[in-house]
Amino acid sequence: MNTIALCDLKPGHHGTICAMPNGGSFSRRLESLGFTKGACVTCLQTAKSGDPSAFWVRDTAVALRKCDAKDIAVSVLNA
Amino acid sequence: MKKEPSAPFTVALAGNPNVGKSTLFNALTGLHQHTGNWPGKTVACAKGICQIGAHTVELVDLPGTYSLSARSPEEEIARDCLLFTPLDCIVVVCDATAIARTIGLALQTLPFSSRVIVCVNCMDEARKKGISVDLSALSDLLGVPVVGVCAHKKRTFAPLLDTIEQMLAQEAVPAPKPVRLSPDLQSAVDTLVPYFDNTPHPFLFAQWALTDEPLPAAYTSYFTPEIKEEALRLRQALEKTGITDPAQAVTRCFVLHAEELFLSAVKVKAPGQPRRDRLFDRIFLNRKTGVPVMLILLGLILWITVAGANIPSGWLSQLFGVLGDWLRTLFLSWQAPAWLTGFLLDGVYGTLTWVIAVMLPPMAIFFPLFTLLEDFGYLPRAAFHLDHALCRAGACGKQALTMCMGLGCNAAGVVGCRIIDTKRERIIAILTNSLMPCNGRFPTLLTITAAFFSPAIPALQSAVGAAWLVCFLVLSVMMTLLLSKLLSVTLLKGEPSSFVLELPPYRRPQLKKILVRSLFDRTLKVLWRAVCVAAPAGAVIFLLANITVGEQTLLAHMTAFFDPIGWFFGLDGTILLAFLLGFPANEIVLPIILMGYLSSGTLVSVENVSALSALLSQNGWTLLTAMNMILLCLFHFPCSTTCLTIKKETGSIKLTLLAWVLPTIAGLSLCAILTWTVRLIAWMF
Repeated sequence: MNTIALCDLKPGHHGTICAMPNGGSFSRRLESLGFTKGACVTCLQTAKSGDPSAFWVRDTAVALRKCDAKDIAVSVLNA
Repeated sequence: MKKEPSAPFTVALAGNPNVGKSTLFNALTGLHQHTGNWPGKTVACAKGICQIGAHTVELVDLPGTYSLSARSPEEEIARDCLLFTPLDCIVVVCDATAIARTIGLALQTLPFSSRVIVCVNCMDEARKKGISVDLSALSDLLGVPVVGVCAHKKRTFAPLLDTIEQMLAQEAVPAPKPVRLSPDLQSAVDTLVPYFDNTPHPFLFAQWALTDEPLPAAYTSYFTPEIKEEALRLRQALEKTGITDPAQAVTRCFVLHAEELFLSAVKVKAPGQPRRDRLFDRIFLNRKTGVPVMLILLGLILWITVAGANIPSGWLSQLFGVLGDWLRTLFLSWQAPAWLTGFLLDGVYGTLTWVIAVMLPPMAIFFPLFTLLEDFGYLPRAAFHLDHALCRAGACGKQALTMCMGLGCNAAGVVGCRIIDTKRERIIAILTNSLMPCNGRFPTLLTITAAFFSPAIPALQSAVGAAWLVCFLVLSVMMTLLLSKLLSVTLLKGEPSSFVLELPPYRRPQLKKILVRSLFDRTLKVLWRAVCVAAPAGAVIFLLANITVGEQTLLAHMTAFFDPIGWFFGLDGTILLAFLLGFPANEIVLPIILMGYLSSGTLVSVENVSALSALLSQNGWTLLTAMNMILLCLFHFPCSTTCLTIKKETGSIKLTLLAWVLPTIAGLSLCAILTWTVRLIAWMF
């Protein structure tokens, strides 16, 4: 079970969130959008230089910057 | 609480951004709130009256909010309205294709209001995607009425209207089943509740006190040091039980409850992103094809605008020409004095009709096309591609969205900047918004390009004109990034804020509705502006051109004054004067220039491009002048409406002055650099 940062998830790959960053209204915003511990995330696309990336989580497509996605830890479901 | 029969009931429409509140609002009230498929268009409360059954209802369209702990000004507006204004009913709108995400706000309203109706929108889209929502199961689980609608189809509104009517008549009072927090959290919140007993919402405030969230401005005084200490103590106690972040824990309770609701009441045939959206995103969001596709889409829209505008322009010019001749003969038969004929026909009528014939068609065509793209859901994808550059420039990714709005109208773009959470980034977006050429400047850019940079082959003219416009827009974006970076390192220092952008599902735009509504709307608006601004401007120029003081006309005096300054920037006095006089509306700049050159002639003689080009060349225009004109047109002070809007949004005269000065300096600097480089090169050879 390898854990990587969300920003390192490659397009087309799935993962499960194992840890969310603590504190701050921003992580709460992320959670209300569906980024919670145990949620399944798929990386859809990344822009040039990997920043931002688009993820499919629960039933929404959301774009996140690298600096914000690196704090979220995911365990990869398929290599 | 019985209402008097005459007083209207107040019903609020709440929900996540981009679920269809405004569409519903428009359908019920007949008003025209701005709608489109990206989160963040409604930034203020809108109110409208509608009849629901026997009751007169004041409907309030709120800005979208993800949660009651508001993060941005427009979310605060929504929260304050929900919590502190007396509401007879709250309709929380959800998206059937994203129930788990959008039901969250409904869950948050249950604790403080029992008069909640959950309205699940986009039922038709959900059906197409193989998602079926069991409304009665949801209703049982939530304890409040749940109805389904398609906001685009009025015939689906009956259940919603019936339920609202029943609630207003207080025939059945729902028994909501609020989310149960985990026992530790609940007891902690209960401990704090007594402190807030004389506030309107003790439970909610107690929860916020525990999770250390800021209370609404009017109630911060309630948050005494005593309460703060107690909250701290409770948080420390919770840490011992393993809850290190109470705010996160509370959110998780709500999120898990939403997920339970979803699992119980929603059946999805194929989980994951719908196939059609995935295919679209593979083209639009792709790192390789994304940006080229963006430029091509833009080019396509502009090409349709340019090509499409030519025909109505021609007709209108002909029509006004004939009308003008008829009026002239009429005046002649009345033996009207020459100055009156000149004033009314050459001045007022000439300018007014020129603006309508030349400026109106491109504006009327661009707007509906842009609205189609908006409704389709493409704009957040454009923001996705621009985000990295905006981040490097110290700005917010959402600025891409406000820049797109500025393409339609800079004043609207400035108001749209409310979707940007941090004050610093909002101000950057406001100050740089007028660097994007608004609708009113397109015709000027198009006409100059057609006169000086157009190929001889008529078939290619529209395409080349559109290509030039795309280049100008790219230049505008680069200038916006440059100035944003400059502001970030000097006056508005700070770090870029965290950024999360929702990419909405693609929706089929309502073609007929948009084309008709937008076309009609736009045409009326532009016509009205033409009457209010262009006609008086024409009158003023005519007077200036015909009142002689000393040896020269007033106009000649004024242009002579500006000529040396103009020469320095590779322009002339007439052009500078026209820009200054064009402060009320950008579309009158070109007519003023032309009238300045004609002085006593009429604008009818420049109704086609070759006549225009000839006139300009006669007055000393070269390719360099045309280039400078374009640069100044792209980068100059915002129009009066935009300036007033900036003052209203920022509340600061200093910032409004800065917004006036910044683009002007940018434009004039570019002109100077270009002019002197060219002159230097010419001098060297």
